[in-house]
Amino acid sequence: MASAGSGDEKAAAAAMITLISSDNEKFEVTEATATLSQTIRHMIEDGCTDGGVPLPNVTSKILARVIEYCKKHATAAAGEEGSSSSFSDAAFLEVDRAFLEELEEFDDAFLEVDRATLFDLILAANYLDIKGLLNLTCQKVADSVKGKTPEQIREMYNIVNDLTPEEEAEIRRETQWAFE
Amino acid sequence: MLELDELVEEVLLHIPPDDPASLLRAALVCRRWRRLISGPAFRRRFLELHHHTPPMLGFFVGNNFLSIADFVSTSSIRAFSRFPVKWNAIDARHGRVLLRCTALTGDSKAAFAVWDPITGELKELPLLPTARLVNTYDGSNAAVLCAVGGCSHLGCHRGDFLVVLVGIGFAYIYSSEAGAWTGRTTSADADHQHHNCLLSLAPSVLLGDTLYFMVCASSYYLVFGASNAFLKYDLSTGEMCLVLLPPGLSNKGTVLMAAENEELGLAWVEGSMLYQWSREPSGLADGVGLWAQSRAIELEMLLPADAISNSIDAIGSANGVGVIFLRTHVGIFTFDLRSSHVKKVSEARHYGSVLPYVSFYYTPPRVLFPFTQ
Repeated sequence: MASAGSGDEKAAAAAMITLISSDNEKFEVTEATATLSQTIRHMIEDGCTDGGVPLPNVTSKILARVIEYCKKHATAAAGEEGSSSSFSDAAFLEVDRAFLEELEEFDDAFLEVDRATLFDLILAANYLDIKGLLNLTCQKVADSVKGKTPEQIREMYNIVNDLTPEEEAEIRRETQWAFE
Repeated sequence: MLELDELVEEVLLHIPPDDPASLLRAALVCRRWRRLISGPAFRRRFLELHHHTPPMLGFFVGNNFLSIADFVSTSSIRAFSRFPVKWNAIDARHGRVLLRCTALTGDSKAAFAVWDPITGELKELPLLPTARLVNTYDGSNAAVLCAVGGCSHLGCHRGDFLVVLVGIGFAYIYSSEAGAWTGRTTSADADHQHHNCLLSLAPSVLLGDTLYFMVCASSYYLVFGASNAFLKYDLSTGEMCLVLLPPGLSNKGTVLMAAENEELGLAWVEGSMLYQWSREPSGLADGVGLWAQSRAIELEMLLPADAISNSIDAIGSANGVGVIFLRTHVGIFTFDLRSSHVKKVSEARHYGSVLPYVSFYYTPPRVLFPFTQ
């Protein structure tokens, strides 16, 4: 049984998974790439990936971007694991730093998208449960809120203010320090 | 855009804990955002995402040698409401600040008070059951801590607390639950060499059930002499003992801190080198051999050139966030032990120790729910 199990694992490592977007486009990805998504990882573990994984909440445009992110980060993760045993500490640190810098550059470039795409990426990352992508995209939007007044935030994101003037005045009075 | 609750929630969770002002302003955007931010689920997830590690919101620092009353922000909080002039901050822990009366007179109602900087609430403690301890500089020091065993200290600032007043050979504990002080006879240190020791005014360090206070030699006209020991007070057994610093060190310029291994650590500066020592975990005896140097950091490359001089001092540490405070002749800097980043946090000339305030910012509920009682 044990040998059969390890054989399965080997086969799985090379296995390809088909992801199907909401507009029915098919994407072939390696399992290593796909399992950055906890949602897909669980589907694979439950053996429900035959015939492809339908992702009715994700359009092909967004799925392509998500896969781009997962590919890059899956490669980086594999590279780090592989190098840890074959380099001396100093060399490993050097490689590690280079990896991290490259990944950071990739992430920065990856975030150069319009607001609507950014929100779609957050929703997809949330649905697919890809922690790194969720943190990355949410941080970007959270940074845009930093230091802004409520009026500026409303304007940026087309939000209607439904607080009464009394409610607003009350909160402002109590938390004056935040608005100086 | 930004219409789905889950989207808004995910985004707002990523506002850093040391930027409560942004979170508060976001709560003013609309009712939905306010409801999201003030809900218990948001708070729970916020703590999780930030690893249950409270940020440093700022620190209290002295404007003269004997009192700590100025607040310097290291976060988006501009200032807390000030506590009355007669008080002096002497300790801060678990979201609370311990204040001691600077000028106790015969008709004073309280010598100590516990203050919540976020709500501004000030709770005066009853006077001690002894006439002996009336002076701020009587050689005692005190600590405030949460009274609840096993507490995560993430939101306990309204719960019960203890104030532990310690001097060489005596201790008094105030329990907010009992509303009273209890005196403790302690096994006073028998070492006659230390009979004229006092506790210094530097804030204590709490590790597990043990409080550590720096010791100084007796004072003459409020000029404290140097000593080479600190006091270890075990809260559970009531035992106290004096422990020697590594050879060559004195309380002056040496800072007690929590090391990364959750053992006691020390930091001090010599020239432009910052040294960190820690106690080996197995060290149960008080011998100096159990200290080990864990790090030596050359500050010359990290501090701006005009800050380098022979008068750099370590003046405090923010435990839990891994920060050491350095005083130079151009201001106060923080040194981040993990990233080695140095940051200027104050230009002013300050004296004495610093008292970091490390806490999540808890929005007073009445602010976010003023009309939903």
